[in-house]
Amino acid sequence: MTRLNARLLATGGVILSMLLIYGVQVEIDQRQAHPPGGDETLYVRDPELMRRLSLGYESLLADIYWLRAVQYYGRKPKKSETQSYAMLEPLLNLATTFDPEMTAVYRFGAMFLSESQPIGPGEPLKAIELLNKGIMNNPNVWRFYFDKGFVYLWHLKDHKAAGRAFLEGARLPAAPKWLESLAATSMGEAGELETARYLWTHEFEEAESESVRSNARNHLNSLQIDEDRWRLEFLVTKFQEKTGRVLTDLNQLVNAGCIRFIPTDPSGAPYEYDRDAKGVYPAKASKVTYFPLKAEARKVFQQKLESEWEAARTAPQ
Amino acid sequence: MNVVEITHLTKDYRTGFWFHKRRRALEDLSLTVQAGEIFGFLGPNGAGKTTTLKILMGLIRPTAGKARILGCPIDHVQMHQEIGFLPENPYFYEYLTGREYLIYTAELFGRGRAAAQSRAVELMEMVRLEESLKIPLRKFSKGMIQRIGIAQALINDPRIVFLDEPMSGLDPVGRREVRDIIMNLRARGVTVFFSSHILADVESLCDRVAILNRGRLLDIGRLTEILRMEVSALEVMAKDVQAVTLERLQQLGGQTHAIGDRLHITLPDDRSLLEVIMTVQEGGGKVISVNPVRESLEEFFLKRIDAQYVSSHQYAQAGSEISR
Amino acid sequence: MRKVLIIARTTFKENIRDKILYNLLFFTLAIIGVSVALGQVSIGHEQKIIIDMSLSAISLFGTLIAIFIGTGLVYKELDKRTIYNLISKPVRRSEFILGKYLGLMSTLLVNLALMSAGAYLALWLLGKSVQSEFLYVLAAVYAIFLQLMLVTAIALMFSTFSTPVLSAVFTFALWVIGHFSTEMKRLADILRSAVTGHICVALSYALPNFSNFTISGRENLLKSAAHFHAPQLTTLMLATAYGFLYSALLLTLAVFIFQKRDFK
Repeated sequence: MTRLNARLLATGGVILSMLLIYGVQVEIDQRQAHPPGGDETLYVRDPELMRRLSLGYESLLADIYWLRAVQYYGRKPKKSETQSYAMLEPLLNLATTFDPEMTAVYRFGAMFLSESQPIGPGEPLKAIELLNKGIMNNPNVWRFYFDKGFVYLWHLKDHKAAGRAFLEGARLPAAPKWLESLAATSMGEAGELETARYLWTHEFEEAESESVRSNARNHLNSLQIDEDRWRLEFLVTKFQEKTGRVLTDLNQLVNAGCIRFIPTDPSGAPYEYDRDAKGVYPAKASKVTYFPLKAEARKVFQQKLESEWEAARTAPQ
Repeated sequence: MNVVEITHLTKDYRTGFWFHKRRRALEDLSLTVQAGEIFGFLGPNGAGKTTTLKILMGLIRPTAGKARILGCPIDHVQMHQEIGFLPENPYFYEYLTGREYLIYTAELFGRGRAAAQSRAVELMEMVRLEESLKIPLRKFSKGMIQRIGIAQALINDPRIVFLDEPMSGLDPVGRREVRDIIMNLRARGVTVFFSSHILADVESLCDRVAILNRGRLLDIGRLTEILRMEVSALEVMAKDVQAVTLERLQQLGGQTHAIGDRLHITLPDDRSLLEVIMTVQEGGGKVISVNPVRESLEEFFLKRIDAQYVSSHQYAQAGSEISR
Repeated sequence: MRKVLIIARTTFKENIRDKILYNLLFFTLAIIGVSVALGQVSIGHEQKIIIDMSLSAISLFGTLIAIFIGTGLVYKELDKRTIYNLISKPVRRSEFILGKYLGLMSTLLVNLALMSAGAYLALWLLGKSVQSEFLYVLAAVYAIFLQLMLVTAIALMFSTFSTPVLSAVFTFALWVIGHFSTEMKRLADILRSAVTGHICVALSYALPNFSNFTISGRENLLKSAAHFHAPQLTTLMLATAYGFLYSALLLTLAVFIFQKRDFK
C-alpha cells in the first residue's frame, strides 16, 4: 500500500467515524425524551441552600438563572401542548436572591409573569410580589413603582392600588413628572381606554429594550383597533336602527354617508365586517398583533360615543 | 559494506513562541560507517552529535537529507529490530526494577516471556548488576543507570549499536568496563557508532572518527591522521610539597602552580622527570600522577576553527567539558 | 498488537505503582465507608444513599484518576526522556499511544472493580441481601467506564502536545462543557439569530457529549440505579457506540499529532 493510499484511507476512516458519531448522537437525542415543554426540572428551589452551594459564585449563578428564565420563557412549545410557565417564578426568585440588584430581572420578570396565556402564565399577583421584592432591595428605583402600578391597572383592574403605586413612585427624587399625572389619571374615573393609552405610551417611551418596545407598540396598536372597532360597530348599530337593513359590508356605511371611507388598522389593512359574528374585525390578511380589551372597558367608551352622538345630533347643522 | 549511510542530513529546530525562528542544529552532514568498525563521533557539546543520533533513531525528523541503516530508510520500523541505542544521560521507568525493565525491552523486540527473562538476567550479569536484580531503578546510581542503558541497548543482539556519550557519568572503573564491552562487541563483529566529547575515550577505541562542530562535519578519518598525537609536555601532580622544594623544582625547569593541596608541575620534556620525582619525595611530598600532555580536542578546535566562527563563550564551555 | 499489549502492561504497572492512584482510591473507599454511616442514620433510604454516594464517588474519582494520570501519560515519557528507549526500538508511534491508552484503561477497569466491590460490601454490611436488581448498579458503573474511556482519550490527546497542567485544565473544561451539550442545543432553539444558533448546534455535536453516559431515557442513570430501575438496553448500546467511536477518533488525532513530533 502506498503512502498516499494509506493517507486517503485514514482520512476516509476519520470522516466516516465523525458521521457515525453524529448519527449515534441524533439517535440518542431522540431517545432522551424531554419532559413536555422542555426541561421542567429545577433541582434546587431553595435559594438559600443554593447560595451555600454556590461557593462564592452567587453573582454568576444569578446570571445563569436569569438566562435560564429568559430561555424558559422564550422557548417554543411543541405543537400539541399548551405552554406551561411553572418554573418561571422559581427561576426569577433564585436569580433575584443571588443578585438582588439586577433590576432588569424584576422588571422583565414582572412583565413575563403578568402576561396571560399564551404569552405568559397570567399571574399578576406573583409579578407584584416580585416587584415588591425589588422595591425592598432597591428602594430608589421609581420604575418598579411604575411597573407595579401598571400591573395593578392593566392586569388586575385595580385603579386605586395602581394610583397609590404611581404616587409612591412619583415621590422618589429621580421620578419623572408624568408619573404624578399618571397617578391622577388612574385614580380618577377617566375612560379606561385613555388611561391605557397613556400607560402604554409611557411604557413605549421608557422602554430600554426592543422587545419591551415592540410589546408596547402592539398594545398601543390594539388600543387603536379597539377604539376603531367599537366606533365602527356603534355606527353599524345606528345604521341598522335607522335603515332597518341588515349590514353585510362596511361599504354600505360609506354609501350611506356615515363614513367617508373604510378606516384601516395600524398595519394599513381596511377593517372587515363579519356577518356571522356581527362585528367588525381587522382583516384576516392583516399582520397586526391584536390583544382585545375586556368588555368592561367598552362600557365606558360606549357611553362616550353615545354622548358624542347626542351632541352631534342636537348641534345646529 | 556501509551499515550507516548519511547523505546531506540537515536539521533546523523551530524556536520562539510562534515557532517562527529557526536554529540550524545540523548542516549538510554526509558520512558512512562500515560494517564491523568502531566509529567515534566527536565534538563539543552542541555540535550536533545527539541530533544526528536522534535522527538515525527516528526520534526527530530531518529537515532535509536522508539516512539509511543496514540499507533501510530510518523510518523503517523493522530495521530497528537489528540495532541498539543508548541515549545520552538515559532515563528509565523508575518504578520498574532493572530486571523488569530489561524483560520489557526484550519483549518489545519480540522475544517470548521466558526468553526475555533469561536474556535479562544474562545482560544484568554482563554489566555487573546481578546483585541489583530486584532494586527499583529509582534507587540506581548514575553509573548503574548507565550500565542498564548499555544492557538494554544490547538486549536484542544488535548488528549495530549506537551509543550517545556512553562513558559520561562513569567512574574510571566503569569507563574501563564500557571500553571492554565495546571491544568485545567489535570482536563479535558488531558495528559500534558512539559519540563523545572526550578525546581519551575515543582515541583508545575507534577505528575511525568524525569531528563535528556547530552542526558541520570538520573532519573524518583515523584519529591519528586528524590530530597530531605527540607528547608536547609532561604534567606531574604532587601533594605535601614544602616551600623549599618548590624553588628547586623551578630550577629544574618546571612551571608550578598549586590547586588546592595539590601542586601541578609542568615539564617541557622528560629529561628532568626522574629528578623532579626524587626532589618531591625527598622533601616529604608524594607524587600522585605523571601525565603526558597532548594536543587536546580543545586545541584542535582552536586551531581548526576560524576564531570569528566560535564565540568565546563556546570555547569556555568546550574547555570545561574537556578538562572534566 | 502484541507490542501494544506489552506497553499497556508496563503502563498498568506504572499506574499501580503510582501514589496518586492510592490516594484517590482511598478517598473513594472512605466515602463509601461514610455512606454506610450516613445510611444508618437515614430513615428508610439506606440503599439509595449508599448507592448514590458510592456511584458519585466512583464517577468523580474515576474521572480525576483519568485526568491526572491520563494527562501525564505521554508527557512523562517525553519529560523524562524514557521515550527515547522506546521509539528507537521496533515500535511504531501509534503502538505507543495505543499501549499507553490501553494501560490506563485497564488500570481504571481494575479500579472500578475495586470500588464497586467496596460499594457492594457496604450494602452487604447494612444487611441487604444481594438481590438480582443489584446488577442494575453495574449498568451505571459500565456507563461510568464508558465516560472514563472518553475522558482518558481526551486527556491523552492533549498530552501529546501540551503540559500536564494545561492538558488537565483543557480536559476538565471539556468534561464540564460536555455535560451541557443538551443545554447548548436548547440554547440554539432560543437564539433565533441564525449564526450563533448554528454555531451552538455545531458545537453541541462536535464537542464530546457526556450526558450520553448519564441519562438513560428520561432518567439519570445513577438515579435509576439507586432506585433499582432497569436501564434501557438501547440507550446503553448507543452510549457504548458513542464512547468507542469518539474515543477512537480522539486516539487517531493523538497519533496524528504524535507522528509529527520531534523528541528533543
